[in-house]
Amino acid sequence: MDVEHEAVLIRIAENESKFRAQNEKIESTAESIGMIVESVPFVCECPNPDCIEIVRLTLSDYEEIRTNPTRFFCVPGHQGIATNAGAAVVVEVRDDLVLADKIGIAGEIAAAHHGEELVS
Amino acid sequence: MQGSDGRRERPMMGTVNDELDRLHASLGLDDSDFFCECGNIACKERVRITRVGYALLVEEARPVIVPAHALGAPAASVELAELRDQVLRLQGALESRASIEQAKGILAERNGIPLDDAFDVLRKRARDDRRSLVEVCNEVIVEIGSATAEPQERSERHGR
Repeated sequence: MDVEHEAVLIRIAENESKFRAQNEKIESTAESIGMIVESVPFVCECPNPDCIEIVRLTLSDYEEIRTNPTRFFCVPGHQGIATNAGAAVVVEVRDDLVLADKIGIAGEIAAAHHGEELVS
Repeated sequence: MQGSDGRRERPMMGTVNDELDRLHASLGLDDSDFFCECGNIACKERVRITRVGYALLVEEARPVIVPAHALGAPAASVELAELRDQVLRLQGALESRASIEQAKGILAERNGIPLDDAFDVLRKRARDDRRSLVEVCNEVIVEIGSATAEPQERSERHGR
């Protein structure tokens, strides 16, 4: 793997981790105001830093996804950047979201950042 | 509802009709009064069709439905299934919520921290251990909850 491609994979993983950190804050807020069964508006965790799409999930669905440190969700169609670069593989396609697992360097970075975003 | 081969599964009443078909075949009858398979458990309507016609419906995995029930019934069954699914999901969410709230309460009280901070601690543990939040909360309830209850029980016994 050339250095440039490796840099792309790292950037992809870092961008997704930033969105994941945002989503952890969204979860905390939803939790504190008691959004128990409603769909909470999370942000799309695709690698595009300018993405402003919303993915709606219940807190329990969100928690289930977060159990896996390399898993991320995005709006259908937004998974292409990561999968085309070989940074992720799609594991599930739903009507309103796509679940994918980061692999290789991207997976290692995601796993390393897992839970880190919770340290204030 | 789809079967493993992608075809629509027939309602449970189909099993009863299959038995009826076998019985009438053994009696040498060409037609039978089959039960309506509209999906409404209160439905007791029957429809007379030939056994050959019934065999064709079974072949195509289509339910026997009284004409008057044909339009509303399938839609109603789908709606009912969706509602059941929604109720199950809500039940699950409420059950897991009860565990989370209890664990938050225990942790907040024992450590003198706000509930929001207690949630962050529980979530951090879940993320670090790569386990579900509910699993961690249940563990806290069992471990810390029972450890808190024991001294109380003991002091109550000594107080008597």
